[in-house]
Amino acid sequence: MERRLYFILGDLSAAVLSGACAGWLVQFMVPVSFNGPLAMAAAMLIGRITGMAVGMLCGLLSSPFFGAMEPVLPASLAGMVAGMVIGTAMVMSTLSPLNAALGGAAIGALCLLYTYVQQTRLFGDVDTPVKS
Amino acid sequence: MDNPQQNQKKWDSAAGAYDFSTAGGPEARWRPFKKTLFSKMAGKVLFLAVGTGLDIGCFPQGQDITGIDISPKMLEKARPRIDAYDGQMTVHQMDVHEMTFDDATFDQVFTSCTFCSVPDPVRGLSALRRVLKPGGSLNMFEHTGSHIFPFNVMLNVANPLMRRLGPEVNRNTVGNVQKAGFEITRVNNIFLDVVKTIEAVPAC
Repeated sequence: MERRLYFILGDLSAAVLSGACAGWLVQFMVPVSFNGPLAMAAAMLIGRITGMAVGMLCGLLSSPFFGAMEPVLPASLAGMVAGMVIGTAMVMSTLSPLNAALGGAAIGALCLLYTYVQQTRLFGDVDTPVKS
Repeated sequence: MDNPQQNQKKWDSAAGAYDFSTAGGPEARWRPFKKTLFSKMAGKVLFLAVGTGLDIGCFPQGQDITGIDISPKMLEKARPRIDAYDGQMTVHQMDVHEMTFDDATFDQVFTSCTFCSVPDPVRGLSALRRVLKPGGSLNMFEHTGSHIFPFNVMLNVANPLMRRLGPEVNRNTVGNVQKAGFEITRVNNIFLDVVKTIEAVPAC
């Protein structure tokens, strides 16, 4: 588990920025005329693809400063999940760009928390390395 | 799969910006773990791939190290760090698939973020097994694919793009080590199950 504040803040800013950018962008990409289950699935797909691209970009831009994998994976996850959630939410109700970005940012923070929980679980020696 | 010429060209192209992308955050994050792994260096050591020599700062003093890298541009950038190493270090521009060292030359082999990029990892690892002395050890610091959802999906999706920029991000390096005839003695996860150290010995 990372304990250095500089890197924790780096991970957090990459994930929150990624979620916020994905949410904001997807809000513009899902047409207001979208409705019904198929539209919801389409909006989720648009959100997922857009969000993952945005997330990877945010992660890769932060990589030279905060780490090669550690900020990139949660930022990519944040973009993907935020894009899916905000895209789906846009079919059910109208979100303002600000609310979409804030929602995406919150999702980004949750994605980082999920990554840290997994990191705590997985860190260290693998119990039983598979023998050949 | 890249051929050796394509692989050399890719890493020659990356040499200019390599330190910018890896010397800051990534190295600061991984350096403690690399130092722990490299502290096990003893005897005649083969290190691949040298790159711009960022890992040399993590080497213990006074070792007898032979380094290789496929990219002459990378080795050119590494020269000041090689010269500054407080020990014996020689480097060769060489492809791991086609190493010219005699059989059973080295006591230990160390790698650092290498087998994400070697075009034919199992053949490359088999070549390392050939140059290891009986009783020698393979010690790797690598990033691999993941078995954990959703990271496994993300790495698989990102891989076609990432391999054009440099490394592959979804390899099963532990499995490749076993396929090459090694027995795994230790796997230590550093970040999720993606960044890890792998220790192995030639299987009997």
